[in-house]
Amino acid sequence: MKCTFLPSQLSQGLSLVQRAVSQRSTLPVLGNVLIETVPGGLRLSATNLDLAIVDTVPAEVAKEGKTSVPAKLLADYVGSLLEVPCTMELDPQGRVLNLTCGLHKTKLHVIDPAEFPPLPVAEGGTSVIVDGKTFAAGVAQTVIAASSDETERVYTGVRIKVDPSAQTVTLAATDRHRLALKTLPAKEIPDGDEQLIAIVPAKHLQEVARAVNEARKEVAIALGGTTSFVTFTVGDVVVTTRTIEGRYPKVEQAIPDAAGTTVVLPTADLRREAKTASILAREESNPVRMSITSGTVVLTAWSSDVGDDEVPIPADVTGEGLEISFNSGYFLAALEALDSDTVHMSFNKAEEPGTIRPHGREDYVYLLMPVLHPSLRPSL
Amino acid sequence: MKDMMDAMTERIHLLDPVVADAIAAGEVIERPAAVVKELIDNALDAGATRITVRARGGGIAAIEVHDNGHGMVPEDLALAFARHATSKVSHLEDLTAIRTRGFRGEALASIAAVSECTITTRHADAAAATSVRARFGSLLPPVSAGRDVGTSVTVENLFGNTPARLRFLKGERGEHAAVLRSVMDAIIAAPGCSIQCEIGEKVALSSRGGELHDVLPAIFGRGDAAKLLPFSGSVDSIHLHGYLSTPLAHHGNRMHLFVLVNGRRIQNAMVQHAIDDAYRGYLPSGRYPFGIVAIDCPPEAVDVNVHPTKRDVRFVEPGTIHRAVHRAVWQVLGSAPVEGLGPGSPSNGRSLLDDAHAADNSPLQSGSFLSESASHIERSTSVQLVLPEAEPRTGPRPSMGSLGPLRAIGQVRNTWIVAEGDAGIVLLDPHAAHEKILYEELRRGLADAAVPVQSLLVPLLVPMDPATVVHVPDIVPLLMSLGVAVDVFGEDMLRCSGVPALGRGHVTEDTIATLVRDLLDRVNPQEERLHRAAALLACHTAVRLGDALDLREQQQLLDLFAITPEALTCPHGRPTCRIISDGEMRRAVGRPLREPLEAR
Repeated sequence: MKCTFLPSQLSQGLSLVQRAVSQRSTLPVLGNVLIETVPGGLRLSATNLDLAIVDTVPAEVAKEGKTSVPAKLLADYVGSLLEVPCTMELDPQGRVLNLTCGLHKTKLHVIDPAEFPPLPVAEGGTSVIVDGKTFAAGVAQTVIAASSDETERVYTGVRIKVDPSAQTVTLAATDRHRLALKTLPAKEIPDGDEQLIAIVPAKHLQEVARAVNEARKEVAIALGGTTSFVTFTVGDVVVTTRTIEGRYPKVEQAIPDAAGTTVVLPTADLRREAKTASILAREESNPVRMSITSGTVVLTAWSSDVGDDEVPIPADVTGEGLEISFNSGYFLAALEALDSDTVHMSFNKAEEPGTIRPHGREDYVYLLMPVLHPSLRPSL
Repeated sequence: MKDMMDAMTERIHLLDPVVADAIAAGEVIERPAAVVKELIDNALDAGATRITVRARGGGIAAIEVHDNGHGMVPEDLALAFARHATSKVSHLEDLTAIRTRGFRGEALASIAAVSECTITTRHADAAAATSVRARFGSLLPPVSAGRDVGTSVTVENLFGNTPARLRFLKGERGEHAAVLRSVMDAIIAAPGCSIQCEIGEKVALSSRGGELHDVLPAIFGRGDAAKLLPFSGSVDSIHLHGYLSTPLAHHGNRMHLFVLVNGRRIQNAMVQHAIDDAYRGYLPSGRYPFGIVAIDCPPEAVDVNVHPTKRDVRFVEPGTIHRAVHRAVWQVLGSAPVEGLGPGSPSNGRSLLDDAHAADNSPLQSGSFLSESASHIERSTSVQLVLPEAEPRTGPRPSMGSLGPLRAIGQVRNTWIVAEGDAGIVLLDPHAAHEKILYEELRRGLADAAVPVQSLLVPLLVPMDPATVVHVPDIVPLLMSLGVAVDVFGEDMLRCSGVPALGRGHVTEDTIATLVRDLLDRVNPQEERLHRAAALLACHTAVRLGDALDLREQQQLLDLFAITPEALTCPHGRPTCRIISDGEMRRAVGRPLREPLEAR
């Protein structure tokens, strides 16, 4: 194996695939990246058996072959090189990879590529294509609501639902306390009316979003196959992830149809004041209370150890006045994820969920379960 | 003749005095250690400042106690072996105000009844000593002898006339250990007296006398003595002082916890409960504090004449004693130095007892944490809660020494948080620390029924056996006070629609199931159940070990940790952090403790 490459190009590819490398695996080869020559380039692959990321970077191939080297070491090394054409050549015994980069002559010990496990693949199933940027934004808006608690694996995932009749792909995440739901228009979707569902680890979905850039404009999702894997193809990058087994709750049903109280106000105003208030809430779980009256929303945050903060914000309020509390961390996360200038919030009762949406749009809903206070508890 | 014999054995008659004495002696003198205790008591009552105890053959072959007290005049010596002969009590009313250690007038008579006993004594005014010997209850005539002012008692062939008793003894080693414990009791009770105990030919225990502080190494060993912290204070006419272990040091049994009332070692369930209760949540389960709790109260406030061996007492106002003991423990927990090692200086010891008392002039009124919480729950939920019989917690919970502000440096392997503070390098277990923070929050919330509830979008469904489900409605309001909204959902299912809005909120079906079972477990007292419930929820809502925390989250945790009372141990009693002081670090790397600034 022999080829010439540009450090910046290899470095970009490594930074993507490196995310699938096992940090602490009992199998040393899983800490490595598999490098294979392909016509006009090098294919880089890494996997931790649940997630596999493959990227192909341009290179001039002089002699075909493959090898595997420690991923982090190679990434750190290539990342520090000057931008001049470099060569890599595997010695005839296949034990050492020789790199020549400017004045540097480097030898890296390799692991036999035959030891590299076969990469997981999604076989069969259907493929749907969505716009890359919209997908990445949708992922960012939904993963915030996924749980980090590994004891309930279903909730650590994002549910992907492909709806051919509506021509949409929806992403949903909940940790039982809140729900984020994003609907993406599909660019290409197979005919039929059978809905397809897959639950994908939120962390893995973020790797897909990371691959999206100006050059990689589309995301093709292959799901519903015979294996328990879903494959995302983003230009030359292929991310394959194991799905999470389990039943996902029918979260759409939780979104209230009507609202007794709606509040519309500039997102930036609410975001800024909520951020200030959350400083007083101290721990993220401490609540922030919204007192909604005609024309004003008063945000109150407090912490028994520190004190409290109260700020009135002018708002366009319709319907009845209301007082409702939310976890300040969850509330702020929603406002930070929102991509519109105006926020639309709707509520019914203090003990019922509230929703946060971009004003005038239905493609994103963030539903928040309220925090009940002793004084607000139903009498027993 | 045979008929006469039968008549004799069947009819009721007065016991032969020797037999009666042997029976009575059994109550007081049950083992050699009891002999040692009684003889040391007598020596101390005689004003001795130096006592030597010798025991051979488990104390059965021989026990000797020599003292330099005021001794006895020959006329008194003749009476010494008579039952109910004492110099300490004359009138019935004296019994209500006993200030001496012995008083029943039974000790010497009882010992003499079951052994061969020799007393040699010389009164300060007498020219020579007198010696008298008793053999299993029968007195031999006194003879002159030679010795200094003071008394020596030699007890030989103990239980020689009651072989049944011998069979119940624990063997030489066990009896020697018991003798040593008796001597330890005496050293603690009279620290000013120089006491030495020789077992066989070896000096097994020696105290040169001094303040209580000076005898600690003799009793606890040098290592444990260094982990004891002093306390003192008064409530009404009750004065408490002593030394107790910090939460970071503990024993597997209660052998080294000495409770004294007016200088007498006792074993009292109420005092024990007060100590256990105050330490609850500071020590791992099955571990006990050690130390000395000396209670001084007016003689009329306590009845010591409950048990022949004077092992237990009755308090006229048990509630006051309970509270006083409780506060004393808090004082120790509150003054525990940050590093949890090395004794605190008694001069710095704040007198929390006095402070607490000044703020609360009616110590018997229950204005306590638990009764407050209970009354709140009652008010808000109309559930009858069973209060523990003993006096509950009172006043503000003490803080276990403040670490001061801490600055997060980073997290090692997504596990330990490294921080810097005034005390040095602080290595924190984020789970245990967060657990403690949340536990305190839950306890506070429970007290004012103010734990906020995070309602759930997808309720937790908890399968449970129907026999348990039946009882769940009884505890629904209590669960609500803990921030858990549960209702019965079919005969074998519970539905949880709200969890405490605390921490990370990782409450699962299992958490709810355990919580419900713990709260329904009537075996444990209410206070214990509430503690367990709060500890369980705190544990499950806390950051897990292995959760990656960014610097902001680490700092947030440290800020809360620094203001949480007694944060050095988690609710299960395990330490939450390790502090490496500058000095410790310097020693570890072999640098001088102080070096000039220019040195590198």
